[in-house]
Amino acid sequence: MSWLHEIVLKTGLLQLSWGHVVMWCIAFGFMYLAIAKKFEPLLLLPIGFGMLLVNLPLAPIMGKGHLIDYFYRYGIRTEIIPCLIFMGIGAMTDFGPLIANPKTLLLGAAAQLGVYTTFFGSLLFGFSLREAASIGIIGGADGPTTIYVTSLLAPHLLGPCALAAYSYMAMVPIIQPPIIRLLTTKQERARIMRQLRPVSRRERILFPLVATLIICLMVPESTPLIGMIMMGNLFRESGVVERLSKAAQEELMNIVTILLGVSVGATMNAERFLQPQPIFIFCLGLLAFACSTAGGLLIAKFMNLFLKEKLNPLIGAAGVSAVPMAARVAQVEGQKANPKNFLLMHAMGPNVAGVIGTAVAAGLFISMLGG
Amino acid sequence: MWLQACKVAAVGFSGVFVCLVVLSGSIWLVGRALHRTFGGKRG
Repeated sequence: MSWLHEIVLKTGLLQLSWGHVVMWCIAFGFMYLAIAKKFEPLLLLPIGFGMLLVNLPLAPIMGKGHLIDYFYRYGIRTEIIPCLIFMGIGAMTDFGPLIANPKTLLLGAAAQLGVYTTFFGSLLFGFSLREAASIGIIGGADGPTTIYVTSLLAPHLLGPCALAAYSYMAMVPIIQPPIIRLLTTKQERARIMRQLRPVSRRERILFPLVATLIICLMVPESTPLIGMIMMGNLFRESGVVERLSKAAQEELMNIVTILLGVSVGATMNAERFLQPQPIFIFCLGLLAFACSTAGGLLIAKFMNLFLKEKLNPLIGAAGVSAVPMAARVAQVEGQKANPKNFLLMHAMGPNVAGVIGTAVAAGLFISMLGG
Repeated sequence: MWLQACKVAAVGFSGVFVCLVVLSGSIWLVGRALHRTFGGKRG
């Protein structure tokens, strides 16, 4: 009978704890949301499955030298995956609306308000400066940037921070409308904006080069993110490397999304996740998103004091860089106030400006708190 | 710690603004220069 006893000891059954079961339920919840509700399935499905795998007792999956540990150590801790995702984003992004109306970059800058408000909020909750920066960057509504900053400044918070960022990005259509209605009048939301001018191919090609030179000279720490997004965009706009552009947008993006999702999910073991800290991070993440939305709206209203051609403040809310959900929210809210209002292209300018703004904010955090 | 936090936030938020204002101005200048050199319609 001793052989039977040995076999039973080698199974995970005896090591199972209530914490593992709770984490399974959360993982199944994520997979349900992804499969049944189609809620960010590209991310929630691998994250959910990664979470399930890491909460199987005795499974050689995330320990030193195990499969997902390699993905995590060589993909995320080395910052390779977030940067490759940025290259894919660059290859998929049309910066035309931003080039046509460059003042919308200010909306993307103001929407970083949530980053700094939450930075202070996190300090009040007892987090350290580096942890607070990682939580604050959730307000940029940019998953890869959140992962990039957190992996450098507070790697132990990677799971909850990444999860909060991606969850709230998916919930932008629920979070933003009440804040929008609170801070704008129906008349403001109904305002129609003039159609954007066409942007020439030369401008499109020069944009990634100019942006790289300016931002990377001013904030060198943001070079990995800005450099990759702009290189991806140059692939797209140059029109001469269609294969590379397609690879960055599709094959490479898909591969790194799988590796990212499963690695982030696998950081969430029961011992680490079932603590008060992740709950605080989720609350602070919500504050970050709300403040970022408010920041964008308020700066748009402030700019209107000086502009001849007024902006619809709704496009300020799109400065939260969740692309393209935040721009879609602006479009939907604009059409509710005035069915003839088409704000999507106008909102795409601040939307992509938000991505750039968050990468700059990330670079500044790293330069001041890293090392 | 709070003093350093204030410094980080002040430098960070103003840094983002300065950086994006400079970028915004540069995009506008490049667009204008291209328009003057090569012509074409500009809003």
